Amino acid sequence: MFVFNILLWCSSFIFLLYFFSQDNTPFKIDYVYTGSFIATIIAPVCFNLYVLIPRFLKKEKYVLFGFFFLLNLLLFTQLNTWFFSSLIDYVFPDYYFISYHSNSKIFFIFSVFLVATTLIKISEDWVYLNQIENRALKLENQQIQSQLSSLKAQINPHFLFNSLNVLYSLSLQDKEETSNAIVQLSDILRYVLYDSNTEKITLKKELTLIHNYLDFQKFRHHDTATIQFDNEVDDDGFKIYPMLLLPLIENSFKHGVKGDTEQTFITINMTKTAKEFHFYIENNLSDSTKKQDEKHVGLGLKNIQQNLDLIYPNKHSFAITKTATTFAVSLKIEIDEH
Amino acid sequence: MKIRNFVLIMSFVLLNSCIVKSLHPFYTKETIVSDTQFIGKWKEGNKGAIWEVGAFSELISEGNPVDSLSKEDLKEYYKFQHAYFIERTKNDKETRFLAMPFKINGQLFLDFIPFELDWGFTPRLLKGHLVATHSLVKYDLLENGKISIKWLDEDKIEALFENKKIKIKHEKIGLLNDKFLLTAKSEELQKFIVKYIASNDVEKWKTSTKFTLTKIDATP
Repeated sequence: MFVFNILLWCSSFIFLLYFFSQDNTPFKIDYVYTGSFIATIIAPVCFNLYVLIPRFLKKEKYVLFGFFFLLNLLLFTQLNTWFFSSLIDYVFPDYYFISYHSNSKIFFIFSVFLVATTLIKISEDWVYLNQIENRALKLENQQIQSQLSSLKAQINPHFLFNSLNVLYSLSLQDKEETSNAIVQLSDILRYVLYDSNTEKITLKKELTLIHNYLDFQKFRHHDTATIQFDNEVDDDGFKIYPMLLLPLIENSFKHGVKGDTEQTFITINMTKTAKEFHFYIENNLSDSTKKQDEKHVGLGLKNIQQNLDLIYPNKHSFAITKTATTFAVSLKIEIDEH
Repeated sequence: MKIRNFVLIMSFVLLNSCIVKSLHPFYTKETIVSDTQFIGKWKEGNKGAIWEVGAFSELISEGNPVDSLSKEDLKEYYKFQHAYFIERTKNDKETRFLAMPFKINGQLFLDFIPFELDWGFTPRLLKGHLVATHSLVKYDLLENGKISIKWLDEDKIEALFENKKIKIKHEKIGLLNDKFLLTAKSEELQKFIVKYIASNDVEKWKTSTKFTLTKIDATP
């Protein structure tokens, strides 16, 4: 709004300055007159832009808008005439503003200004609405793509195959953990199948999912990896977009905890304060992953980044830090309480 | 050489008539006042010119009843019914003017314009090149029965133009293009007068063209 007004009034000043100084060589008196004229036209234009248009035109009250538009025009045209016939002499006693414009010309100038700024405002709103519409369509499309890709990525047959092998192994040993492992896997699959389709999900459910996932992974890796998960959440009812965190954890297991590497670790830290949600995950790099290009970023991480741009535009940060031995991702979401 | 002399002569003539000239009258219908105090015979100082001032309406009707006037004369009669017809005689030479009294913010003024009859002796070809212009005169009735008339001096308006402190329709005229002719409409001229009256310039009516007139036929 500030930039719009600066541009509007600066360009108006230049236009009117050359319009009023008929010989195209503006002198000090023309600057003074134009400045004073602009001062008298700002009020009706702003009143129209910020009161009449939002209250009447946008609410489709066309007759009322027309009535107040005309009233605004007549009133301020009259005030302009009064200002230049009386009041300006007190403000600039040394200047003689005589041959400028008749009342009908002033009425015409005011009409042009009010109509032009109304059209600019309508165009601006149209562009803004168009942007929102396009973004909504893009978001919808992205969500569909994201859901499809997440289904492909998360319920990958490998994960299910390995999980079933784990369950088979536990059942052969007749271990007590078998039933817990089945329940954990079931919960993970429920989340992926059903909860990930909702618009937003509570942190409470995300925490349960992460605990289940980490516990289940421990059966697979037999405590060979050091997995640490700390969280400090002030409100577990806070909702975030689903399937943002699980792919990051999966990514860490996929590239960090591998048989070709010793002393593997995954460190996860989740905090939620009144102003910010922060998820940090760090893992070692497996020997095979180290060989990849340093700039290489997986498709899953790119998807997350694109989703964040659409869901939390200008309200998030997503940083990937890759060293020779570690890989870390930091995701911050700014919380807007309004 | 002849051209140079001509330019010098013209400049001299113009410089000696440095009053503000306007294409349009300084009065409007609404500001005209009926004033008979100027009517009579007046004298400039002791040995100055004689001013004979009469009602212009009488000149139009020539003593006939108003009803008997032709349509055109009647129109002229009503348009100038409050105007003065002035005949100024100096060294046996007569100049005639039409002066309209008008009042703005309590101040009396006269709008002077040369009267066409005065050009009777002028050669036709020269007459065809002349345009009568209006001038603004501040008109004051003094306590001793005298009348003061002061023309608005061109130097004043020239200073405003030079300092870029005025925006009023005008043209630059004269062979040297150094004189101003106001072309603004009467309403705008009045707007100027209102502002000029209220200005802080203590010498706003200082002028080289002024007369104090003493009535000759005043009754003691």
